[in-house]
Amino acid sequence: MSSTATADLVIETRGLRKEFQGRRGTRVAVHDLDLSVPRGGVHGFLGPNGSGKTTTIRMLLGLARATRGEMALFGTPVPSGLPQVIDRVGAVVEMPKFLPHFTGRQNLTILARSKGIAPDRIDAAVDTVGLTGRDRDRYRAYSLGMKQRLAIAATLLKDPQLLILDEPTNGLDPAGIREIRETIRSLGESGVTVLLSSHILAEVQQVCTSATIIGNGRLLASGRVEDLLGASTSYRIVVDDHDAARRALAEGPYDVRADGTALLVETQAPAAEITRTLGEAGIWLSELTSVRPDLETVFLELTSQDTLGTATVGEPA
Amino acid sequence: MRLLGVELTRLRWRRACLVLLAASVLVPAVIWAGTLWGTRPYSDAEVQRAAEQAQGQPGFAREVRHCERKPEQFLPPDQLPVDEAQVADRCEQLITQWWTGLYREPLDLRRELDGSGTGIAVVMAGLLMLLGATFVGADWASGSMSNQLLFEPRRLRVYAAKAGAVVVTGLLLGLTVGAAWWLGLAGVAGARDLPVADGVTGDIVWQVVRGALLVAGAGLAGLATTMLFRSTVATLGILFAVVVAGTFLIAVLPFEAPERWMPHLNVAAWIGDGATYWTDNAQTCVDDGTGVMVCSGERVLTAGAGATYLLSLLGLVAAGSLATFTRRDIP
Repeated sequence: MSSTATADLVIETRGLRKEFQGRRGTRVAVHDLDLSVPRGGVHGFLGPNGSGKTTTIRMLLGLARATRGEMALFGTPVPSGLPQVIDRVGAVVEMPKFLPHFTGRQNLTILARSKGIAPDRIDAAVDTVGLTGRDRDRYRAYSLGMKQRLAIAATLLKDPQLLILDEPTNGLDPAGIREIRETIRSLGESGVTVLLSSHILAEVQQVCTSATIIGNGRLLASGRVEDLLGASTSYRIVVDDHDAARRALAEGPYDVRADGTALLVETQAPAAEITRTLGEAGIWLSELTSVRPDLETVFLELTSQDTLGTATVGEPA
Repeated sequence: MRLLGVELTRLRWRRACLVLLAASVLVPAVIWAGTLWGTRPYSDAEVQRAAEQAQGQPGFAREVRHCERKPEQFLPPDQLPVDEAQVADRCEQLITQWWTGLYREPLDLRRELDGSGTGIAVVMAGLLMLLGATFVGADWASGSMSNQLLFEPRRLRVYAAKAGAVVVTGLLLGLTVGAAWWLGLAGVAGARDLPVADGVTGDIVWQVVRGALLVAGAGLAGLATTMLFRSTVATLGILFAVVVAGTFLIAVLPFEAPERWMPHLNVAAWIGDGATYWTDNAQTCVDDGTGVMVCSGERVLTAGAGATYLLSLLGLVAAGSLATFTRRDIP
């Protein structure tokens, strides 16, 4: 991987595969995944439940062993090179995991000491996530939102250049979600690369500059969010005669379908082309609205084309 | 070393570990107090009161007279007096001693080596095994093991630091409590003017060292088993199975002398610098010189053989847990 790893990619995987052996055969959680996360900004990592997002993250961080394939962080092959790059990576994987009888501060202190991190960074991290004043409470007494904040505080101890956040706003109230979103946005703008795995697609759309969508452990789409959204622009038109409009548009590069009392026209062409085509056919528009799909629409379209569930190969002997 | 310090801090902050450490000090302290109480000498007032009670009982005078008439049936040959006054005096002393029942073994450090001295080492070893199990069991139960590996991904180092913390704690505990326990006992023996047999001091020192090694090894075994099964409950289940099913299994397996493979015997051999056991299956028969074959099932298990057995078990569990920890996915 070192010879092929691209320098401006913070995360890169090639042919990454993870199989789990079970009584019902071999289950493939990640299917030859090629993932590229560029340096800087916030990168969304999307997929339905069980699509392999967390497994991919766990393999990148050395918590799970890849069945095959190559991975690199900052161009350094992992997991062999993890000790060299781990100081530059902060991560929250799935739920926050700390010792319940320790206070929040004790949990952070243990982690900080293991890397020789100065105690004042604990104060800074606690302050950043808004846990000041509650850091000396026992972790088990924390709400889920406070646990999430503590987990994010732990990632900030190392002053990371790459932040991997797996559902970081789980359990947070709306105000907390907004705070964390702003924190993520500002981290992304400050040069930290953030890989954000989340089910809340509106949130991803608001903060992410690029995104990768996977399904069944396979890459479905990847690129800038603008490009992902722009690939399927559509227009909602209202005309008197639907059939005549359909016939007129059928001659051009348009995909037309009914949408209640209106028609939905998907095309790469600008809105003026639709107006002109219909006008030349003597059909006059009552209404034309640009329907810009949100990330949720794109996500659902992509993942619905993919068979839900996980791929299975082989059966036990 | 930094990771070792971190793990020692984590251990110090864990309440369950502190409770087990406190128990490792308190239980030997209770055994120490019980040993002293059970070997305390009688006071003059106690002796006087018991003698008065005995002499006031019916039949006492008749027993003394019986002794005076036939002293050779009561008194040891070397104490047989020559005149009647001495006979009466000694018979009264003897019958008083019999009737009061005032006899208590004095404190004997040599005897305690095989008794309560072995006991405290075994108790501390059991508690340290629980400490080792609960120490890392909490990491698995809370899922914080993955968090730790996000800061130090070299799993071998993480394992070594955790094991090191338990071993260091076990050694310090075994040496400190063992030394204090024996110093306290020796101090009381001195205060009671009791003689200390030759070589006992050296044997005590070696037993303290062997005890500390057993305690540390037990802690490591508890940790390694929990790292293997990733659950304190599973470790406790395994320990229970070893105690119950393991003993039964060894007994029914076709060993020549199955007793030799019992874990408790090997622990006793290590702590007690050898242990005697008896087997029915493989008796050794020798000619007693008169043509009669005398058979005996008595065997001696040396400390070295016990240590080899225990180290083999520990090595097996530790190697297995280390291999799985470095290879298996972390939840």
